[in-house]
Amino acid sequence: MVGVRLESVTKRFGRVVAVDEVTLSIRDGELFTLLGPSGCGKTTVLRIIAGLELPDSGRVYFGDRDVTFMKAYERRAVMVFQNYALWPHMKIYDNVAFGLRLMGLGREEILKRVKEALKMVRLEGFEDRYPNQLSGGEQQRVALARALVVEPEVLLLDEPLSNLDAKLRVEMREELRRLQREFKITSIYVTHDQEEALSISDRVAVMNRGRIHQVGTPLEVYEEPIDPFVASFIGRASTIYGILSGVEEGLAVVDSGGMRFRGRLLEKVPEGSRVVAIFRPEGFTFGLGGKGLNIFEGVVDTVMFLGAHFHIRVQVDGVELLARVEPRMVPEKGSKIRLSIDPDQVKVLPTPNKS
Amino acid sequence: MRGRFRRLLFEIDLTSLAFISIPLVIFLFFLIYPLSEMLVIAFTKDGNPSLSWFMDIFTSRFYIDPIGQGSILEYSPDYNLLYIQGRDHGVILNSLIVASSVSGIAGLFGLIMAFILARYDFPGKSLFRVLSMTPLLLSPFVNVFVVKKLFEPFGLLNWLLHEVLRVLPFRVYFDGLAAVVLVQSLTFYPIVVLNTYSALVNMDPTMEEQGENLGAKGLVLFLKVTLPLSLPGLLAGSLLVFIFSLEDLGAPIVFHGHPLTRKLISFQVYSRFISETGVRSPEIAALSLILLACAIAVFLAIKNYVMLRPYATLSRGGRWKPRLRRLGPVGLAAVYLILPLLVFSSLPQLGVFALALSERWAGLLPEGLTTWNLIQIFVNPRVSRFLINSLTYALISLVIMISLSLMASYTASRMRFRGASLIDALVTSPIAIPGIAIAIAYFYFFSNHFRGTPVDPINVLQFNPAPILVLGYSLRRMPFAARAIFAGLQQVHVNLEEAAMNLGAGRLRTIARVTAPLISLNILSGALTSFVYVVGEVSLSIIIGVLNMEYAPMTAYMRDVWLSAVGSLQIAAALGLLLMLMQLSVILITTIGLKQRYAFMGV
Repeated sequence: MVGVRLESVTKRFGRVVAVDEVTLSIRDGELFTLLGPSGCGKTTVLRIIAGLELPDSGRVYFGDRDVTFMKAYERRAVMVFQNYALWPHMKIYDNVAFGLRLMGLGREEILKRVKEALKMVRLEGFEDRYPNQLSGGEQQRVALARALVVEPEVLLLDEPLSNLDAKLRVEMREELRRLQREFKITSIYVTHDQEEALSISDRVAVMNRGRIHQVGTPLEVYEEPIDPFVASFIGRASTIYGILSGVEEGLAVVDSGGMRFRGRLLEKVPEGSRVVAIFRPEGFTFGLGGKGLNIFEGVVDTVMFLGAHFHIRVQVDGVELLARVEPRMVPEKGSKIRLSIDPDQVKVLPTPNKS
Repeated sequence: MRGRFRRLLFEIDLTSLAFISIPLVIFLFFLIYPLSEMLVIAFTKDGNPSLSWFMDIFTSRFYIDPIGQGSILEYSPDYNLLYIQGRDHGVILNSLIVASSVSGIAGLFGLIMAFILARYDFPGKSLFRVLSMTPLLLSPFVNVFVVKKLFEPFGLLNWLLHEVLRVLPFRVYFDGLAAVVLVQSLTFYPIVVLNTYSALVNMDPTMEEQGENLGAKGLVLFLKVTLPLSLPGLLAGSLLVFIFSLEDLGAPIVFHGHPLTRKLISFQVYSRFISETGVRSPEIAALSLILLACAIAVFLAIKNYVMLRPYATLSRGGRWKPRLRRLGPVGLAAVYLILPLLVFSSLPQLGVFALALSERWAGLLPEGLTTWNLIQIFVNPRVSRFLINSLTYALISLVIMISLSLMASYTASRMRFRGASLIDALVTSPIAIPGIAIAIAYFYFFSNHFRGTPVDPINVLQFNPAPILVLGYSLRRMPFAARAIFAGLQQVHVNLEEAAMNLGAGRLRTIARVTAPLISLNILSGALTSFVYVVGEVSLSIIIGVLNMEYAPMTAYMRDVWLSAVGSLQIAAALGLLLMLMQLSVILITTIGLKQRYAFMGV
């Protein structure tokens, strides 16, 4: 098992820059997730690590070895594909045994290891079936067994759960996490599902348009997003643009339209510059209370039922805020409401350069 | 520099290198080079570059006569006979006029048939479908002969229409160019049906539904939505018909008794070639080149036209239920009026069947039921020799064809470098190259570069055409195999192969263990289809194959009945019947057994 390092990796497809100067360092044995919207280049990064694509520039290292120009079959980085890529003409046993046979192992050894692998993914007794006789979840587990059985240095997972239904998806991701911990295998996981990413990863890299925006633990990227993209992509957030009018008692004072509020300045910026503030819906409290700061009055514009709770949109001095409300406290649409938020929960960032 | 080399090494391995270079080298060496060499020969006189061969051709009224002579039809009151033969505009114009007429007639009739089959449901539809495909069953020469017999002034059709039903006030006699147009239209229109039908069936039904939604219906809907969207299929089909008509030797040879029928490029090349001995006149090369140029020009023009239409590829993924409607009484009546026409276009095949099982055909119909002819082709060594030659050549060609197609199709669909699709274009190019041109080019190529060896066609006494035939068959019929394999590769998700490479399998092993097994059905159906088309091949067989009858294939025997008056008409029909039965079984195996689409010509 090794760590994986990417150094300013760039890949273009025609005029589209799929991966733009990506530098990453993935630690030995960790579960690392590339998270981003579809088309952001995350799968391309994975394919470059697998050796299925050659980067236009930059280097890929497994530990200290430069593997940039090594072919897919010369690396020990095994991929689990989104569509599982089980060979329909081979039985489950032969699918799992494929990699072992290439390693030149003896018949007995292969038999033993395939059995073990199938047991590990709880598919004992499925050896003689064909992939199309299995359910989606079972196929997924075969794909995982086929990858794990060869004891790869790096396990690559390309949206492995996206073809499963919602309930199974949650079950499988716990299973995946268990197996990954058990094997302590360096794993790189690609997904566009932020909940999935936050729940299973040791660390997450948030990507957009070929670039890495932020790398951190799930908690870090949620709590301390580095820019509006990360804030809005992970969890829900109201992003409000304004001018930094000053700093009082260590808190930034921001003016936006007719609204003034305070928040935590995450990066030093000169007064008078344009900033963006991030409000999480769950940060708001209603009615009186709070520290007497950041108290807003507004009109409820929309009420959305989300199952366990509600989200409401509130118009405050021409600015729209998204807030979470418990079911028993839901206000009427059109009613006036007073809400407040602790300045510590408001993150203020410099506006990113439009690029 | 070193970086670029490493990049190249990453993309290329020994297997892919072989897969790219083997088909490339073979096609360059055995297709492009011989054709280019023929070009040089046609532009050389007495060792110097010269336009003289072409000048001779283009200035001669024998070849080009814009004014034309004769009349298309003549009525002879003495015999109460309408004689339809066509006007003579010289060899080159005649060929172009015939090919255009055939593709026009086939295009119109094919479009109507395809539209009925694709959009309407009515009792007897499967009979319709079968009848509309029957003319595709190969039976070189013999099917033409049957048409000739049926259309004779005192043949079956005139008897039926003039004497019995009295629909025609006079007898009609087709001969000359008109006969060629008639035979070729009957034989080739199903190619248009197939291509147009698949365009219509693959059209997203919401296209027409949206049109109806906005108020278009009937003819307006057809002209504004349906026809433009199916145009690529219609044009592709008509284009193939044009090329097949241009290179056809069957109709001109069977009808060569009429002087006008002899004035077609294909027949001119052929008759000049076999009437000369030793080194042939460069004028034959020049004529072949003109034939090739016509075919390629039309091919490129239509290909560009189709490709310029971005909507040609506008479709969403997945399957949908095509629009099928029941026919009202008026529509039903109209459709059933077409039925006799369909039966009529299947008559050649039925006639071959009857002829093969008969003793003679002197009157209206073949007479005297017998299996003697069929038995002869197996027991009479003077006939079975040809059959064995054909089958042997077909088997060997098949191995070459499938290997090369696999390499080329794999390269085209899996490798990512500029020019990968060029290799695909190269292996499918023979579809646009008249077989006559390849045969003539091979004659020059092998007599120039293999002088005195057994494959030198001028070395008459020792000449063995087998290697040339096998090579030519392989290249000429490659498009069928390559299309089938390419279609299979398109259906195999690349991830399946990447998963194998990921687990440590090199490219060759991945292909052997994953790719090839997954497309085995496509390979098999491509192989079976190509096999039949090799056995039924005409141009190379009767140009190169006949130079030593010892090794000639069966189509050469079939030709001899008309050109050399040796052999038996009924035995030729029996060979035709055998070929049709082979093709029928291949269709049954591929469509029912392998659940594949049978790749008819051009699909």
